[in-house]
Amino acid sequence: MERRKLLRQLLWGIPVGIVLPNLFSSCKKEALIDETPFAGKVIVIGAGASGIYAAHLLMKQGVDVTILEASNRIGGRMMANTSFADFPIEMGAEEIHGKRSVLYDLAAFVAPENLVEHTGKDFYWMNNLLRDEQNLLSQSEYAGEVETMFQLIDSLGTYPEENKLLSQYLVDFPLIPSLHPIVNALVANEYGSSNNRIGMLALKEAEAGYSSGDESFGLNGISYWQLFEYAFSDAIGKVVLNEAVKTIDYSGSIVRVKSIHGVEYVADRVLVTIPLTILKNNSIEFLPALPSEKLQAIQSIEMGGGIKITIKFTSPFWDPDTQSILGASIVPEYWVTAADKTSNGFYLTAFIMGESADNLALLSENAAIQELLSELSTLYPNGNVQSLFSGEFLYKNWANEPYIGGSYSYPSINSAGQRENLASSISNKLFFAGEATNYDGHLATVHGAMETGYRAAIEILNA
Amino acid sequence: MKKSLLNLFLFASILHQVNAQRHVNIYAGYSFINPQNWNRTIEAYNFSRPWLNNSLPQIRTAKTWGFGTSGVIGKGFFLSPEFSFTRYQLSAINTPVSLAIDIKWMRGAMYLDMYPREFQLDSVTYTIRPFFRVGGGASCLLPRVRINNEFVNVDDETYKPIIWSYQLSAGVGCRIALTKRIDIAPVVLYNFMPNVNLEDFSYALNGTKLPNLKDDERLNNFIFFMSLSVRLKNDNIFEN
Repeated sequence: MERRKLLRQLLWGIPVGIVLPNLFSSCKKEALIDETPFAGKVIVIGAGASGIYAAHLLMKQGVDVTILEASNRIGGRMMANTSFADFPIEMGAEEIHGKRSVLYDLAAFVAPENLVEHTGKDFYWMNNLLRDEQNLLSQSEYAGEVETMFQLIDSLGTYPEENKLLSQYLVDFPLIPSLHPIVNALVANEYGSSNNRIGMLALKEAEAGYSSGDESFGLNGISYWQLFEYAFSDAIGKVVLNEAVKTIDYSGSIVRVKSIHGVEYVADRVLVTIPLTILKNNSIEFLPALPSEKLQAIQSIEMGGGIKITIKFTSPFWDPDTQSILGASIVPEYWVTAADKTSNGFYLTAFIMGESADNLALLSENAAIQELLSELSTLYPNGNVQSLFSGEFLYKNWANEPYIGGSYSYPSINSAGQRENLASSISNKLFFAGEATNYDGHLATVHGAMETGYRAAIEILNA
Repeated sequence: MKKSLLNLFLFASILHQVNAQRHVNIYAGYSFINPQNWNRTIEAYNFSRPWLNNSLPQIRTAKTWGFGTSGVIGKGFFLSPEFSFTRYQLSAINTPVSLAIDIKWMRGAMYLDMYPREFQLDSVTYTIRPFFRVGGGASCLLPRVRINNEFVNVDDETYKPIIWSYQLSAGVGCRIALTKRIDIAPVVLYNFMPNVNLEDFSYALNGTKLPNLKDDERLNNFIFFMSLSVRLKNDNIFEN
């Protein structure tokens, strides 16, 4: 009888035996960063958003970091002119895209009073008329087509599995041709390219992953770069300027980085954050050569030219609510530079990417300005544009910027699925970051670049 | 699957309410959870925003409350439908940015309580009966992320997911009769949710997803609570 009781007691113990292992396993911590993370030496190549941010994160974890920057300045594609106007004019990255990002969080913490949401109206150039969205949608002649266009843009993240150019997709859809330049301005130019260079599958990937939000913010009174200067001063102090890298030898247990001046730097791990064009033109020799998947990714993803021109006028000829003017033929998007900013001046910025930038780059700066003024005169026939031009402008062609060579990467026709290969590390010694390596939908943005910085920092710490 | 389990639970509850002998139970306690991917997402938030002075704490413990009934279905066997509510609240206040995570967790479950006669621990003063509990039910999780009291958006939509999951439960407890009609019972309950979809929690918190984060989470949850039972009918639980 006692034996039977003992057996039954043991039987009741079975559920407890099942539960206890789970209790212990659930207490175990699977941390983001290993308990004994890497604490050696890292060389970061490139002092742009991703490089500076990754270096800062690594330094916070006790890693010894050196940043090698090829040019004579820090910031990469962030560059502000502080003398042209009574507020900083961003010659490179300008907007903060969406509210749910590490960059927005940084701005909201560091400079909440400087963070302003763009609230102006967008105007669209269609059939020789400039109209705002409400007006465009209320035009009975085109209302249906315009609504279809906006729906089409909203659904790009769910495009079927068929690869073609965006320009072809618009023809096949079909969307009336007079709306194609607006799609070019809203989608292709925004991604740093043109309708006839954007691949639909890669665009679908980017759109499906883009989650930070459609709101657009600017900084009033400070520049983008000042946020970085404030938050990441420790990393900025580690930058060696004018130190372009010639070779990266990762064949041994340590990585040897040699500059064009013959200086050799050694580290346990190297983070490469240089722009895609610099990887494409083989400015840096990797020893051994990069794996074929990486080379294929470098060749498949494209990065186009980009021009930003800010023109000063003596008084405005645009509607006071104007944010952007979209869909013109020479400049896909103009915006009011000082919209939502404190300024006594009147400025328009021309944002020209892809094929439009390539065409405009063929002209001299003065000739390009005349083209723009001529186009603006067409958009605003009663605006007296030529007479209101102050004669002052800022011109920046990013294709000509040394060690950058373009605007940013775009979803090209054969680049679907390639960004993860571009981002992948090699032999736990060579790591890659930068906006082009963002495979989560935030390519071509500063917050996207920062995301790759912390992705790479975690990889380095755990490798 | 989740819906049918919920329906089954509701159906069983109703049947039970109609037919069973009723004991009303209320309880309060602590819930312990270690959702690996959610906590890694929180770690990623703290790691990627080192400028913040106050880190966001991880999801670990919360108070839990519940109520239910139980009734005899056989000798030493009781059926107990219960509803419980747990709320995990975390925040990181870094003026001017205040971030808050609020996860409400509601559960409906049907338990079979077994009182083996092998484990009677009666003392002179009290009648004490250990019991084993097995069961299952449905869970509903409502994770919310707010920054400066404003719900965050993911892809331009307010992040307000409703996450359903089914759960399996096992536990042990010990019922102590205080009076002829009132019992108390300390209980440890283990809940296992095999597949909880995180519904973009990483996007809501970090604005992106990290490569080593999965969409699905296997959740293990332990609840320790003290239950107070009132016997509406004088059907001595210890004699059945």
